[in-house]
Amino acid sequence: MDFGNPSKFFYGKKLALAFAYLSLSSWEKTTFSYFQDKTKEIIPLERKKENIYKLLNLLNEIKPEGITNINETVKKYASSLRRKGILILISDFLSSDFKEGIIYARYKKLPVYIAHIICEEEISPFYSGNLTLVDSETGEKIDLFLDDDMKIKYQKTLEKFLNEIEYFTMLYNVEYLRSITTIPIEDLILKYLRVGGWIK
Amino acid sequence: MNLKFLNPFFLPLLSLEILIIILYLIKPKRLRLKVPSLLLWERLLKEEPIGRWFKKLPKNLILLLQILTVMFIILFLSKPVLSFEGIAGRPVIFVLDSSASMTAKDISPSRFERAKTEIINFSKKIHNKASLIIVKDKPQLLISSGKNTEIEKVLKDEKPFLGEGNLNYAISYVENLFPKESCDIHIFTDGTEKLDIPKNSQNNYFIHIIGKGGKNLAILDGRVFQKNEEVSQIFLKIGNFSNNSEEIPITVKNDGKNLFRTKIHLQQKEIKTLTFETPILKGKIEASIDMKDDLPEDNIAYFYVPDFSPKILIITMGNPFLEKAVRAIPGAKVEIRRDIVKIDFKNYDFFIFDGLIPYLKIPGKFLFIGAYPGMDPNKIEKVGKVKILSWEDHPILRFVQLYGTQIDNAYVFKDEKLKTIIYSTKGPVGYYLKEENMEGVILSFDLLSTSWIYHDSFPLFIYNLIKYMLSYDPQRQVQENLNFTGFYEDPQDKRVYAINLFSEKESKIEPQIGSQEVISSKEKPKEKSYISLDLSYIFLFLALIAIFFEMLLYMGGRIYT
Repeated sequence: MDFGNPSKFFYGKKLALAFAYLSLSSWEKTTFSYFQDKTKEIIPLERKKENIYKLLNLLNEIKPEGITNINETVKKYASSLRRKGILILISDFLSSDFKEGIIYARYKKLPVYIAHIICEEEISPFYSGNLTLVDSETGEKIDLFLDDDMKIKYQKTLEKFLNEIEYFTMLYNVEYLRSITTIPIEDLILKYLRVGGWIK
Repeated sequence: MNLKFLNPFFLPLLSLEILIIILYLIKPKRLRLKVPSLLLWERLLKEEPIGRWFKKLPKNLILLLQILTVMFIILFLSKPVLSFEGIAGRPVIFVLDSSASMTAKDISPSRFERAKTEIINFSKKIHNKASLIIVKDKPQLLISSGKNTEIEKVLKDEKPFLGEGNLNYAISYVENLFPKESCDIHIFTDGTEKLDIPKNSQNNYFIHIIGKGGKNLAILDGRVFQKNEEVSQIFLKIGNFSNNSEEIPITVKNDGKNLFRTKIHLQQKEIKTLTFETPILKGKIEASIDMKDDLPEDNIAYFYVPDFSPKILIITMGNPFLEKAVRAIPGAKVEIRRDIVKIDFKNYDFFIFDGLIPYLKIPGKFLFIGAYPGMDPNKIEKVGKVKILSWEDHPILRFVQLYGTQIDNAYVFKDEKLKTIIYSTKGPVGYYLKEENMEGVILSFDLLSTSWIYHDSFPLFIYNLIKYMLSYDPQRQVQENLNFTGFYEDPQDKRVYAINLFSEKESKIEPQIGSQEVISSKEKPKEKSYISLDLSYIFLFLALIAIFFEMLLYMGGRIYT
């Protein structure tokens, strides 16, 4: 998540903060959690608006690291819930499979909202030539020669990937929002989320 | 096996290989780039099957291909040639003697057929380029550097030549056939002709003697002469080429009827000339040896005595000397006309136009006196009174004495078509003309204005002229276009010819080349032969393949290099 300018992680944190604030402002009981391969921390914000600073402090501390496992994390989180609420999941969904977790959450009757964060570099890679690409999470490597032809093929693959997610969310009645980090967070919340019906 | 480089100075360039390896080792490493996830890239590569294939290849395959490409190009430039000793044979030339002696049946079915079989069998064993020459009166190249399979097809229809062969001419022909190549020349002959093989020849000669010698009695020559008005003489030259003395029965026939029979005794290898006198003979005459031997083609001699009775037309205003000279020719049928109107020229063998000259040219044999048809008036010069000084040595003027003969009024014809045969003090006065359908003599003066008609040489000239124009020698030897013995009627002039073998060389069917000579020819040391294989284009091909694979790797290597 620590890629892009601003980084997807930073953008995600801001988005999480905004959602928390909006929720607390509406007198909703709110819980924040962040995960890597498993849930790292859960902060119950209750209905107290002043707890937003607690969240803010936490967000300042956490760093992007480790391997992501959305399925396991979501499953465990969904099964631990005693009361029904909505689940807002903020991720770039590039790390592992996420479908089982979402399906489980839907099985538990949780309304799921997905905020998919992507950065500009992922849409059109700015690098080219003889490259060794290193996975930032796993450390795996791929040697390739990246030229315009390959970039076009990559973009087609990306488009296919995004379409797959869209199709999946439609299939399981999951609210889906995709955002690029270059869109200011204010615009996202005040314009796009409102247009999308996420907030009124 | 020997490997040679025609351009060895390119070989040091192989050291460039080290340079390629060094460049490979010091080339900049690829840029490492951290990405959030390889998920999309892996998906992309899964959709590119070539990428997966190339992933399995060794990482330094490009280096290997580059090294090979440079090596192949350098080897191509240095022109490597691989030589194999003695693997490839030299071109083979088969020379088949097809002269009359090859028809001898001392071996079954005949020497010629046996030679054909041996050549076919021999050709099946070799895989070299093969040429085939058949030797008749001159060599004929039937196959030039062809496949050995063609030989059987070509030889199948070949028949022997019933005349004299000329193997030595064929050898000189073969020597010049492939002057830049050393060939194996296999001569299939019955050995009746001594071979003159060049000592410094680049070719190897192998002589295959077909035939073992046998019994042959032959008429080697013959002639029929007219001794006088009532008696004909027959000369026969008969040879006994068998190893025993023989009592030889001879029969002479005239137009199919037996004329007489006789017997002669000949010792072994004896040749005797016989003379027989018979009543005057005309037409077809055959003299035959009535014995069986190995070469029947020379057992019969054919003669033809043509009936000389020419039909001569004289067109003249009146010349008793000329008429008398023509009538004096034995057997001649003479007709005299005073004009040229309504004459059927097809009915006559010879025409004499004395002063009266036809306007148009007519085909045939003729004597024009005073002028000739188609003459150009601008090319006539009147020279008046002249004396004959000289004449050409021509059969028409044989025994004719013309010197000093006076002509009161002569002309000179300056026509390039005319060939002068009689010269006077002021120029030519007698000409010979031969055109497509016309042949004859032109005299440029009036006969009555000369003293020639009073001399003996005038009727002699007329006799010579008509004999020369109308008679012919009916005796002929076998030629390529007349490959048989017997009588032959020429379809054009309807003349009958007697065709005979008459060759002592061909009738002597016993091989003249001793076995020692044959062995020595076979024992002539063979030159070493090489096949040279130019490998340069193979290396060029390999270089192209290596470049192609390099390109493929590059295309695939956009993903994995």
